[in-house]
Amino acid sequence: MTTACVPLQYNNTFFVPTDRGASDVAQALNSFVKEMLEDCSPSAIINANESLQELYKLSEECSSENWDGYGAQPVDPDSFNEAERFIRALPTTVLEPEVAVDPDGEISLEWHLEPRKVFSVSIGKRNEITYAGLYGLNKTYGREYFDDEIPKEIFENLDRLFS
Amino acid sequence: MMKYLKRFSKILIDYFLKKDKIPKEINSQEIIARYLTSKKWYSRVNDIAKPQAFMPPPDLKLSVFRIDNLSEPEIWKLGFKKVIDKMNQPRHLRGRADIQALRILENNLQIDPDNTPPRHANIIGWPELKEEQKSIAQELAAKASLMLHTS
Repeated sequence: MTTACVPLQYNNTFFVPTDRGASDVAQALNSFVKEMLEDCSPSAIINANESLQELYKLSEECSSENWDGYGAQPVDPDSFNEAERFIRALPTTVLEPEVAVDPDGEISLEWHLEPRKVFSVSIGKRNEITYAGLYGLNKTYGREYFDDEIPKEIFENLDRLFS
Repeated sequence: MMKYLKRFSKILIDYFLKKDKIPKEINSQEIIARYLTSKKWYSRVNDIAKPQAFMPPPDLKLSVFRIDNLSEPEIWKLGFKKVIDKMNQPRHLRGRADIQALRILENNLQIDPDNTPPRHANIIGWPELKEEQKSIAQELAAKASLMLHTS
């Protein structure tokens, strides 16, 4: 018998199942969870598509040096690829991020509720993610690595932002 | 004789146009403007400047202008003449984010009034780590006021 086991640290709104399992049963379970999430939240999927569309649009608009007139770097292709992978990896329960390009050419994804309620990640090359959040008078920032799943620190911050 | 007349006329011009004179040193109460050239740097709906507007460029010198004692039309004219017209590619001046100098200084940044062009300054002293830059940009954006260019 195969059972699903959810680690306690992922026991929040933004839990994402991993797809590491290689067996037929694991693949079937993974497919089942994906379909279920898609059915549960069709608007979120449309939103994710909007973020991807915005990403593609910005990669063209910001493809040359000095795109902002202040000396910004063009979109970094590695950052673009990683950002695309990151957006696709976001669970459908997460509101769509706004996509932007940083002056160093990295792609930035931002969730902005109010001026002092904001969380942002910048997707660097070599799987590096820098993040910062402002929650009222509190703030946090750090650096994580994006391997085959989005780091739990990112979900914890999103949870904090939307709670 | 002409030399002295020229000097005298310059003194008169400087005196009567003293509103365009600003002190060399930054006053913590003065207003600093960041001209916005990207629509991703503000939200019209929420009437806010976004942190992206304050992210430093690779040389870690964030270009700003000192706008004290200027009227609104003069502030916009400054932006068009000294920012937009100097750019290699055509850009829109979409708005500006105004912020009190004190708010910049209290984030352990400095304002370097290089006055090149006149009234120009750079926000310097940014930390090397990008995550810290992002955090400061969020703080600055939260304290800035968005001014949109209407025409």
